[in-house]
Amino acid sequence: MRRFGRPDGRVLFAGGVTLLAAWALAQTTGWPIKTALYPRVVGIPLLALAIAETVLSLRGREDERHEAVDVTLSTEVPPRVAGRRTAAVITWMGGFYLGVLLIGFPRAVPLFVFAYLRGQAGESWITALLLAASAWLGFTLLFVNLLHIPFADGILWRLFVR
Amino acid sequence: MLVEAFLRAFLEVVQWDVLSFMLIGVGAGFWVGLLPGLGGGTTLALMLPFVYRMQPVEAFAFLLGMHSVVATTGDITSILFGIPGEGTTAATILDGHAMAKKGEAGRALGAALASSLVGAIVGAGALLLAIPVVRPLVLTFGSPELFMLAVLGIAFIASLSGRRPRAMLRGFLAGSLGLLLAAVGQDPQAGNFRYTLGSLYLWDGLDLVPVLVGFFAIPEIIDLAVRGTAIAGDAPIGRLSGVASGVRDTFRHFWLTVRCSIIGTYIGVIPGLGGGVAQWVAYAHAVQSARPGADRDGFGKGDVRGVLGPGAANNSKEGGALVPTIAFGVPGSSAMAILLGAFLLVGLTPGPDMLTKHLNVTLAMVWTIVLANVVAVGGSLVFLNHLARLTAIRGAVLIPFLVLLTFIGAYTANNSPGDMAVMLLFGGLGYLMVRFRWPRAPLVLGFVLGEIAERYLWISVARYGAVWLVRPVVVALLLLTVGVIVSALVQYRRVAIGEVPP
Repeated sequence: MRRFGRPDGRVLFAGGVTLLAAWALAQTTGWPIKTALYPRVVGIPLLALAIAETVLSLRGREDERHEAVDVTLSTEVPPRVAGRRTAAVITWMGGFYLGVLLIGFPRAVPLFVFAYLRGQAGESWITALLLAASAWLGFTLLFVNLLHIPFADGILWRLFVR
Repeated sequence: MLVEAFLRAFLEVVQWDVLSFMLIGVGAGFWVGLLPGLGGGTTLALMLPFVYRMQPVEAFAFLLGMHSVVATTGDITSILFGIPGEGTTAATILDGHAMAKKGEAGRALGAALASSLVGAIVGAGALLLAIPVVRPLVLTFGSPELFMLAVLGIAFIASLSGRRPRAMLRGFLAGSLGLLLAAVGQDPQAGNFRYTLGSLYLWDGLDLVPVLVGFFAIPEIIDLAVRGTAIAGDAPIGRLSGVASGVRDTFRHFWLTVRCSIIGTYIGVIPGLGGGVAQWVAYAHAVQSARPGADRDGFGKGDVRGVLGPGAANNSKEGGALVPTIAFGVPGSSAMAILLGAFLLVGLTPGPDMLTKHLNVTLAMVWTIVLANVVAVGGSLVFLNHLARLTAIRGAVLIPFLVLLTFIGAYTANNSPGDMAVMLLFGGLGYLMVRFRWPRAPLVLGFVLGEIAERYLWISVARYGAVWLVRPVVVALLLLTVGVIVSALVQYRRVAIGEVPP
């Protein structure tokens, strides 16, 4: 009989989907049948499949042949470096999102491009400034002036500037 | 008589004023397709007021010219940057962007553009031929059959999700998850809120654009940052020879391209399914038509057939979607629903009149789809080498611009900051799925089909009780679904016992 292995990322991910499916099904109790029919019809097989995937992930090592028909992530970079770079780019994206919420797109766009190019990519001051200015110009001409997309000002901008 | 009318319609479309409107439309559609998030449907709606003073043929040359090239140029963004230019061009990423990473961006673009043109011609041809015979085709499908068609679509793509039964399990799991995610928001039957977590933003459910943009673009941006190189890595960027090779690939796999075009056309004809579904079914067909084993292993890693299938289908579906719109006033997609508004604005009523009194307008539409795509593909080919060079720019320089496009693309769907949060959330989900080798295509198909599946499931149950399960077409589709799964399992088995090389 095969033993269960130590939980790793795959197990946690499959377990997370199992919990999500269980929660989604639990929510349907008390809903009228019109509302609950569809989530139950798709939720029950989802839960069964997620449990099966979690158990299989716990029992066996991942086989290269289980690869999905989908893109694959690069493996040439050492895992520690890859982890650091992944964390860095996620932080930059989170920072940009926060920037948009606080000061709005029109100001966050050039600021983000400049900060990333100077701080992360190590570009020169001139290159970073020129590319940030071109990003701002492209954004303003295309999305603001031509397409008239309404961009919110941002929380801080509204509080302190307007 | 039809041939004569067809030729007369051509002469009408190439008149200077009509052609000018079409070229303006093609120009607008070209850029809308390139920009992620900005959908063809939204742009159609924005352009609708401009057709008030136009003649019917001019109005449709303008609107259809714009709409029919959006999917063509949307493929360019998908291939070069891994960001879906349009919701209907996400499937092109799987192999198209993988080819760009190998330095074959030119070849992938050539294949996408040539297959798009073939798809557009097949779709337009179908529109021409199908109008007199389409009525029985559409009427054979009631709600139970349409629900089963959704189930079959997911079974089809889930069973082709990998090389082992475990991958199929994950395919079905992803498909079910997509179906469940489609249940977020107000339920269409009773109006109760489901899984909205007390958030006003989620009342309308999850929007497809931020979901798709995050799901596909974020994993690519993270991977680009991890590699620390250009998109094409150290591979040399193919010049014109690469583009020509992609065009040649289209003719080398001509029947695959034509079959996928027919799939796209047929899915386009069925109201409610549309391009979001057509591209994935065509992709699954491209995978399925490869021999099990080594021939199939290249999919997801840069197999040109994975570009040709979706490329052809997402263009051919336009011709198909026009069939029920013109013949019965039943729009085949949301964009067609907007186009239906244009019929009324220029004083036309869809229906039998479009096949008799206004046959010239209908035939002019056929020519517009073909000519607009010829112009768009020709224009794209001129710029392809310059566009392909973008994949040689250092990743660190490209990343902030890709992040901008991703955020703006998600935001423009509803002009809501909530869309950016959804985009980031699905970006995280997409990254984890790629990392743990879960196929993403079934999830997207499940998400796209979820709303339709729920509507048809409820109508079937409410109208027929359990009897809908024994309707002949439902039984046939059910058997086909089981057949698709069993056939995949048999192929896995043949590979496992060495009957087919792994």
